[in-house]
Amino acid sequence: MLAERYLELATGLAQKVVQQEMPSIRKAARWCAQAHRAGKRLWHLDIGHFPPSETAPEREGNPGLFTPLTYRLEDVQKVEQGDVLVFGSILGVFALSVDICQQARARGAKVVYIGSPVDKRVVPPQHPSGKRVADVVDLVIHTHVPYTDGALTEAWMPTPACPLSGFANALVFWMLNAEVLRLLKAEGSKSV
Amino acid sequence: MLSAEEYVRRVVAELQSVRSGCLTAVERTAEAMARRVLQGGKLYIVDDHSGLTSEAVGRAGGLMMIQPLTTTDLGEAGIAAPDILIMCSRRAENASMSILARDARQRGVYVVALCPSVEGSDTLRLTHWASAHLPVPLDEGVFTTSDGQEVCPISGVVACAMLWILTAAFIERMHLHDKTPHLWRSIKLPDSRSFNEQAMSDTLREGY
Repeated sequence: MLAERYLELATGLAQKVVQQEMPSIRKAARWCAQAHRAGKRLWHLDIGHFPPSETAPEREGNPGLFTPLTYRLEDVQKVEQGDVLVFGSILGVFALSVDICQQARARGAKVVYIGSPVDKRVVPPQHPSGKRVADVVDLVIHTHVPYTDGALTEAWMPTPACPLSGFANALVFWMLNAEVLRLLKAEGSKSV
Repeated sequence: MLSAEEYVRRVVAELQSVRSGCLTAVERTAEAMARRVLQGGKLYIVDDHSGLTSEAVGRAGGLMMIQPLTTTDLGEAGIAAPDILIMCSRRAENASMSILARDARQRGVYVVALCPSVEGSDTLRLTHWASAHLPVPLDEGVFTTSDGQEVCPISGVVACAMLWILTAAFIERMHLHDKTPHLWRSIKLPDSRSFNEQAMSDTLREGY
């Protein structure tokens, strides 16, 4: 059954992220905790469908570590030296995404990308430089979703069905929050 | 214990409980939805700002036929039997969503509630009015901070998975009725424009 297969894929993806991405998540969390401790800001921008609502500051259960950044180049002016930008996108091939991440780095921020970059020959980048987001950031946390986004394929399906990227990007966002909170608690932060 | 691994362990435990406890209900709901679509029903979705409408509509790998419900005036929108309305809420106790579900049921709409389970059958609970209920975890954080704040909820990611589990079952049920629904192809794929234009044209003609 397709429903059961999707469930298995979502479960497997969550487990794969733990098995393969914890070093990157811990590294990103260290940068975030360090910036937070120094009074710098943590920014979050995810251009997916589900994550913007799920990760919004007003969402109940969001510890409020991150401030949302809008998907506009002008907004990067808010990013300062020592800040961290966490950027989410399935493939990271849009030109504006590359520009935003490059500018944030140029302003002295660490930039972490949550997504599933693929070979440029499979999905060509749209930036004139030929770069993907994954090529211009400090760290990639791989979400291991298929480049077509649809997780289910059958001979009778016109195109792959049922994406995993919304689930995956939100999952990694909360994992990162948990890890930052763990570090802050270990350092004796009163509010954690 | 506060950690990323513990967060995932909780998510995986919930997904495993979906597998053991909900798949039969998912298949039954998907079949009911398919039968309604075969009778000419349209498929709508609404949420309480939880992002699941955005997740479902215009989404690579998602259904072309699904539409966001943008009004509470179902009569004016022409929504009635044999239409279907998927209602996603972080809380079962939700007055506005419950009233909308009641109105939809009174118009013969098949209402699918994706929300937490609650005890009792208060009329201001979404589950009271739903034709089918697919439970998701209570909307609360996995960890509690020293100032009592519950943080890092798993309900959103599990609800997101549940939405696609239901969609997968619906696609399969429609296929078993020899009516495979049209899906969006990722816009990052080279042939997506022509594929999506043709599929949308077919969706408008066929209804699914």
